Amino acid sequence: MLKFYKFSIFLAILLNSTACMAKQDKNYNIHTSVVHVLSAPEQYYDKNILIDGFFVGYAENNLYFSSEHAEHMLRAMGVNVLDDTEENSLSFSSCNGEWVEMWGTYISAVDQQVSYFKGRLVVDEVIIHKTGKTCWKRTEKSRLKD
Amino acid sequence: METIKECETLCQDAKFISVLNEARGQVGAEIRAASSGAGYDRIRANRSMGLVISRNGKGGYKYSRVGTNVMNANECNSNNGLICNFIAIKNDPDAVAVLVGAPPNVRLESFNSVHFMNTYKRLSLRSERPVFVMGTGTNAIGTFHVTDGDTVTRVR
Repeated sequence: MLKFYKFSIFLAILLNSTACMAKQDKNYNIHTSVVHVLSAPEQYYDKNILIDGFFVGYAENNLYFSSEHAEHMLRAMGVNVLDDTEENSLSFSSCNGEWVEMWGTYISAVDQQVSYFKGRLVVDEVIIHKTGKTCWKRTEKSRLKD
Repeated sequence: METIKECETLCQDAKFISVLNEARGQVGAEIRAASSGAGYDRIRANRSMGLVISRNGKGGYKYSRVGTNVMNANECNSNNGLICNFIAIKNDPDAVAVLVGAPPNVRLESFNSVHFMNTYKRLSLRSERPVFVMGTGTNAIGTFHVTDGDTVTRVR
């Protein structure tokens, strides 16, 4: 019986470490800003990034350079954030109207006929700076990245 | 017939209403296609899109290509059909109105929020044209609002 317990504990540790490794596979090792992404978007295509800014949801999800830009809805000074959840959960989360840190993948979205914006952020997790707590986390895989 | 304050003379014009209804179909179809199924695309998925309705010089109206740039009060002024030269809607003398479709994941409840409506009021102020907002999501499909930058009226 003791052997069984030992084996169970070993198995639990093994599974936990495997899960942790899987999580660590995705590195968000590029810490950047809205200005950098706007000025040189091609440098960040398909890369996992950490980006700070002021998030506003509802009609369009944008991560703005500052709250003043957000107040005046100056989209040229913001990065578009894709909320591909069916229930629009990011827009309605407590991240809305807060200074946040976003963890996600910046994808290229270029078609001059459609939009002059160069990319979108497919976000995985959002943390509020004020509290340091996660206000939104992706639960389903996005269709737009691997 | 009771007039709509936000687009008094324009909404009395049967030709305009006809083109507006046609454009609604176009915007709705493109938004739904871009956000689901095989048409899902990284530029337009779950994003507001719209177009500009302008005079065609023959006493009628025409509408522009559907795009995301309308939300920034710009339109694609394409002369050759290939390259966009973005211009401010307010600088287009022929532009009479803007039509925007909310993404499918925006539900009817969102339309009542102050911030949501401010987005379109601001768009109206920046483009100096009335903005028509149509819903495409749960419960919101079929709804239609119009704003002149000051007030918002639900038309249907």
